[in-house]
Amino acid sequence: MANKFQKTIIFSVTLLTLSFFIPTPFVLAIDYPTRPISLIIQFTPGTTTDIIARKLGDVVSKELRQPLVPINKTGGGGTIGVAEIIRSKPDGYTIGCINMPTLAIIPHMQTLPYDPLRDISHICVISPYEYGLYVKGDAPWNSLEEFIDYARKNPGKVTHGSPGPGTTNHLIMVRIGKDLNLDWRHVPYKGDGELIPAVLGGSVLSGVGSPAALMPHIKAGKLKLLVVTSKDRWSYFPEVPTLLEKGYTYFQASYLSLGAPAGTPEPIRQKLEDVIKKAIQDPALKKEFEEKIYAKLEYISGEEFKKFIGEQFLFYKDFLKTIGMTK
Amino acid sequence: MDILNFIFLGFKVGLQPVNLFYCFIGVLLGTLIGVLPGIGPVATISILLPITVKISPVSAIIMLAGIYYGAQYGGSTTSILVNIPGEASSVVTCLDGYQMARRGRAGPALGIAAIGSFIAGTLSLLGLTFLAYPFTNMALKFGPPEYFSLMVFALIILSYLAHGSMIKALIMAMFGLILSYVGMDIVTGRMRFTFNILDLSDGFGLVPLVMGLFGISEVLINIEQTLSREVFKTKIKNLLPTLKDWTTAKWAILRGTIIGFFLGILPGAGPVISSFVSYTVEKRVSKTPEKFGTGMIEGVAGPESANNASAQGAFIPLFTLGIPPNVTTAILLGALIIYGLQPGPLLIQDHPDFFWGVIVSMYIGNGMLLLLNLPMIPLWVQVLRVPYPILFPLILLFCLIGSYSLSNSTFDVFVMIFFGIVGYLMRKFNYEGAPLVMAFVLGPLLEQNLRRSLIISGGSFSIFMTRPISAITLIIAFLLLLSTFITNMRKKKPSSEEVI
Repeated sequence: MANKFQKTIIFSVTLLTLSFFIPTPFVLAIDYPTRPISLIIQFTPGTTTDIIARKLGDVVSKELRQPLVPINKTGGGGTIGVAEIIRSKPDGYTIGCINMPTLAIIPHMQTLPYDPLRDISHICVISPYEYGLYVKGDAPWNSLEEFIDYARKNPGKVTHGSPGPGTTNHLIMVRIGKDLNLDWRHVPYKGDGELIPAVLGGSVLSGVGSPAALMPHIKAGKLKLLVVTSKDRWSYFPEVPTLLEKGYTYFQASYLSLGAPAGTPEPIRQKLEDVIKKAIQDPALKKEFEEKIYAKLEYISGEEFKKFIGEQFLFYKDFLKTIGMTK
Repeated sequence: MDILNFIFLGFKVGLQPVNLFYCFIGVLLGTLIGVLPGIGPVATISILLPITVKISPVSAIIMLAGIYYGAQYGGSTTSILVNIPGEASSVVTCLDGYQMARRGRAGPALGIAAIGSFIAGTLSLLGLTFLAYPFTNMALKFGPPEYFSLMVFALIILSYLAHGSMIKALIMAMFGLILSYVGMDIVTGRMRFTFNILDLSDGFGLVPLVMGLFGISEVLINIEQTLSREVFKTKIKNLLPTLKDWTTAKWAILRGTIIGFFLGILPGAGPVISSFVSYTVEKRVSKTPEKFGTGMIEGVAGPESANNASAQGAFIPLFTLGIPPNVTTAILLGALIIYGLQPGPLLIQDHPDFFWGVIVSMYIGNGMLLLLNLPMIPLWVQVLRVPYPILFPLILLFCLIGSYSLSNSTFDVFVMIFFGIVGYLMRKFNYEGAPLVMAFVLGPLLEQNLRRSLIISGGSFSIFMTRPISAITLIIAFLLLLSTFITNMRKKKPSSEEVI
């Protein structure tokens, strides 16, 4: 009868429609990815972060058999890109680069539209941001001790520059200064593009920068590295010691990691972590990154990194309060 | 002589057919995007970056550089034709260029812009070739106090930008300064006037602001006035500058080149500031300053030369130090790194074939641009004949797309629209946009360098006078201010005597 037939159709269509709403996370991970993935990069094209992300993206695209499409969303020291990641649908088709300050430091300085501890599903760390303290090539100091000695003898005269207020480059020098009771002054610049000429020209006595930014100048003798502020010595200048080696109990810890919006299904996140881990642990790729763009690839699991971020968040909360930089 | 050998080497590289091809593509693309409002070299170069890894580094940089300085050529076209700046550095060209177009002299305006750009580009390239190192050393001596004094000087001559009421121009300048301080405070890291809007943490973008203030407002004004507006009747024969134009403009071109070249080297300054400074200098040295704003050819020749010279000048710190003075050269720097060429003090030594090849191709590129732009003038002039109801929606479309393309940000589009409305209101009440833009650009440089200088000096203001370059700049600025007073007082004197 027509009525029964209609009822059957309605029933089947309803059932079919409802079936679309059944979440199937486990099925997803096996087919994932089935279309291109957006890779949000929070810095402008040409910066070290951007180059790392794009190169890694190429490698991972081959492995996943779907392209990783880089999209630059710049501004706010990385916060705009990170906010974009968090805003996106947690379906595994949008991931992005995160620099640690956007989660551990900047939230204490300004009101952000995201919760840095809960809104990100961390995939893994891909690279530590390496830094070192440098001075002009013909400056009279050849080691950290000599520089600190000079600062002690000339309170208020030593200036240290940074690529911006609230960057780890700025804060590490503040921390050392407080620890040793030094009266040295911070001069803020906008990026290495302004800071390095300032040190070269003598307007500011020291700066803190990355291997990529400093390499050509150190090689040409225009700048010299006094001490390495990251955890390990730089492979490019193995004779320069680290802060840790000198007896300091801390170092300038900052990382470039990949993240997805919170709520991204765990199997997808795990798959991404596995693929990326494999890529960055490949010795050939590591060598290429080190030689061509002076970046070190290092894997830290998403789980571990989440803990680390939590710790750093609390540390900077107190630290920034003591120097008066909280909102 | 060593340099001649290098130049020969450069020709060998630059004249290879493949490099000529990429040079041509680069300058063609550059001109096109320079013409389109908003879509600038930054967006284009970033899009092309992944493609360029497939070709040799020299060819890639030749093409990307071509896009960069080509865009400076193209930017003046829309400024002159429809009063909408294609680039932030073409804002000043709108002032007199558009007026020339209204008087049927669009052709000469476009022509002198192209020729001036060519001369400026070539001359500053010569500077780059022979004077790269001494200039870099000089530029490095510019510390925060010197920058501050330079900005004070620039602000004082800003008053010359005013065409109408001086008070209104100053109000606009103050408004521009206030707008420029929205964003993060450089010393404390705190946000100012951002009302917790994340997109404002770096302040208002210059390009969306300029596009709105000049471009969108122009569209709005024209929508209002379409019915009563006459269509331009441009005579086809007056397409090239006359001999008279040439004699008037040639000194402007020379002055513009020098101003642009110097300001391009200083990190942070650049095509925008040079074009403004050149305009005010032209107005100051002219025998008829009151005619500026009505279609004086020097008002086009000077700034256009300045912004081209500045674009070429920006390559000096990029190649000699590996330090890019503005965003576009920063991307080129990234490109160099991707290609495995380490930019820095040793680049020229280690890779002379690369450096000289690029330099020579820039000469060639400038020549190509001139050949491209001059014959296109009749074509561009026809654009003026397109009826407004078709032309302006198209312009609006390009502006909307362009402002988004800057940083993939819808917020920039809103900024543009907002300033479009502000600009429209400003026009209705006869307030000028140029002083606002100049102050907006200078504001951060002024404030940041003042505070840096005071940190370095420990709070003492004497640092501005104890350093020679800074002291000289401030004294010149002060004398300039004084001379304006004296000129004004002289004007008033006779009338008071007459009264007696």
